[in-house]
Amino acid sequence: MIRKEIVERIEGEARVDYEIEEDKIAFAQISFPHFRGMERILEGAPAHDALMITPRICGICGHAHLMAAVRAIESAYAAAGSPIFITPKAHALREITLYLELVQNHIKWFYLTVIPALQPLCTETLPKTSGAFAPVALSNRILALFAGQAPHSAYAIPGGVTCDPSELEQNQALGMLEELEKLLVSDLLGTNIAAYMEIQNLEALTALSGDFSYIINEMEKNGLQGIGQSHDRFLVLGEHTLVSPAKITHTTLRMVDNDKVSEDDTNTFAKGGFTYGKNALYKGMFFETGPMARAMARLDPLIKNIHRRHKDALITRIAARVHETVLLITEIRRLLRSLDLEQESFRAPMPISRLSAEGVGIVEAPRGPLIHRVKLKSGIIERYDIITPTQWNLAHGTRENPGPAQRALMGANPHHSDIIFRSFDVCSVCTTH
Amino acid sequence: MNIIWLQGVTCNGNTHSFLNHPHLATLLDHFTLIHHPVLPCAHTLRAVMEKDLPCDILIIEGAIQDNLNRADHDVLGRIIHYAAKANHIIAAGTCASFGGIHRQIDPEHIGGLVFQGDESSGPLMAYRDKIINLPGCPIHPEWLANVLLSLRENRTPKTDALLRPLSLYAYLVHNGCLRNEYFEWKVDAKHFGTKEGCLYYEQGCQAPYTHGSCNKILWNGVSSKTRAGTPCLGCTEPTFPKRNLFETLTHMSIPATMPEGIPKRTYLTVSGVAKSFHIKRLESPLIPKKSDA
Repeated sequence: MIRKEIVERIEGEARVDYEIEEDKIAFAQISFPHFRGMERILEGAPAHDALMITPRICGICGHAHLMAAVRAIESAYAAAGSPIFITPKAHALREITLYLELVQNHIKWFYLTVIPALQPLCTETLPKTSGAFAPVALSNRILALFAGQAPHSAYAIPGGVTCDPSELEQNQALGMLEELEKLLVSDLLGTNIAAYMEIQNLEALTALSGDFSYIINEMEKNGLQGIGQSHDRFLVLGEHTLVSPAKITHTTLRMVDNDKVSEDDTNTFAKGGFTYGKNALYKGMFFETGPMARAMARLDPLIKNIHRRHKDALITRIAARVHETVLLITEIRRLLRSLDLEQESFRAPMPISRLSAEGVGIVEAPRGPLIHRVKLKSGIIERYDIITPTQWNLAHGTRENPGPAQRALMGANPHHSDIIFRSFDVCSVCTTH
Repeated sequence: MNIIWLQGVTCNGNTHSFLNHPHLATLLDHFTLIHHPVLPCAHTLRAVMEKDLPCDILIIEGAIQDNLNRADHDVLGRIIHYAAKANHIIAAGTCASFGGIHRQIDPEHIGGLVFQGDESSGPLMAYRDKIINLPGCPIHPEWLANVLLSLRENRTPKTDALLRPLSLYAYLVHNGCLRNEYFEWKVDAKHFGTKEGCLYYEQGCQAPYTHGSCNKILWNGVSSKTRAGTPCLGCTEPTFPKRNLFETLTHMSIPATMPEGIPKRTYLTVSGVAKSFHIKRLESPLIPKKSDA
């Protein structure tokens, strides 16, 4: 039996055709029906226009696109023998605002995506989705102190950042961050950050009183803790203060080589297929990316403890993402305090009109690695190529070699399809850029 | 009042910008969300597409594209269906208003509700009288909230020729910019990453000829592009996006586009006088750094 579904309430729209055999999902064909052609409008544009256009690929993770774009152009400068050294202050500001975008993303996902999808499977009434509103608006407000606005800032530019904050913005940010932390402590965590950071196993986590542990407990009570296991292979490609690139298979960490990343378009309409989504692969294999991958790469004690019991199941995926929110807040505070405002915000690089080179920019976006590749001729974009996180997680393989989300769905109870699918936080608008 | 929020070709940026409204839950208490792409609402997209649901205010996010299907139905057909029913239609963001970024890909087949760039035409011309354009890439949450509250009080906002409410778009982004004094005295920003200097002369700032209240109703309650040292990119105008956005196009070192409504000769006279003075305070850093000593 084939059950066709159009998945709404994600970023954009996806279509899943579930093949159901003996009350189990035997296979799931995932397709993305829309196309926008963002790479095409970049061709022929001056390089800096990528800083404005690429964030508009995605309303929820546009800042990650901005960071990937600026890294790509700066990497082209390095390739041309004219490397750009941004100040530690500019680097810290870029990390702070990127992390704030991750925070609002994670909170939206937990309250607006995960909770409504879990509700039909749980006996108790789950926390209200409106729990997202205040922390989301506050994260974006802190982001805007430096980046001018959220969504769709364009404040990172080859050579640094456009803003030059004073102690005022630094203090405002620290004050608002304290407010944000208070909200998370009272609603999400149910304990203060210092106590939370001591937690290293699932028992201690489930003993808390916030929305996070409530959801974990509800999953256990309703027999959902083991569902949604995938390949148990993870990939991190972006270099950040909180995580470094790594490939993890069978809990073994290995270095990665970005040249081993490839795209496969054999399922796309252009090749007579059924989707606009291309697959992203590393050494020809599918990997899961995002907060769980980053937790494994960081050797995070709490997530490794949950992983030891449930592997890469839904429960680990959810816990990793909420847990990362707390780590991000702590790291944002450290970076804010470390800002040396005496440093320059921007150092003018060689005029871009003299730049003819190729560059690659990789950042860890909320859902995993985001890759921008650019080819410039005299400062004009000749080619722009983007690989988004959803191309990793929602890659479309075969029954024998399924993509990560497909693998997690195969063998599952059909009633669990929605929450498993959504646990990968599908971003259709990114995929079909 | 019943709201249906539908999407054309979009990045979801207007949806997410609206979520930043500081009193979202209170605001939404005044309305019934029949459908919204992300927020809790009464009906699924499929139901909106297949049934005839109540709709007083139709909000469209994203550009209109021929033959765009969502939930197995032609989106434009359903937009027209609800447009006929609704008392008011709001184009949320630049794409729905004028076509915006997504129009660049295929200007023949992608555009706004009643504008293709600045040309007045489009699939909803029959309902033009009901339309309020709220351009901005993305929309500012307070701008949308403001219009929703007006409509709830049965007040229809006064609009300009591009159907933008005057209370929000009569201003220029330039109004309220912290760098105004540098503009008056023609002191340019030496480079990016400074608190001082005007971004209109070299960094491509379009604020002096872009309509919007970005520096009156601040973004996220705290800032704006120009306050963060980023040039205004002109995102509320039908000409958005232009190219080469971080550089000012000049003719004989004079910005090619004059501030809104200022004749070139007037501008040259005033700026010639202003430039002849050297005002030490405006040429010094606001907060000196050790490296400035």
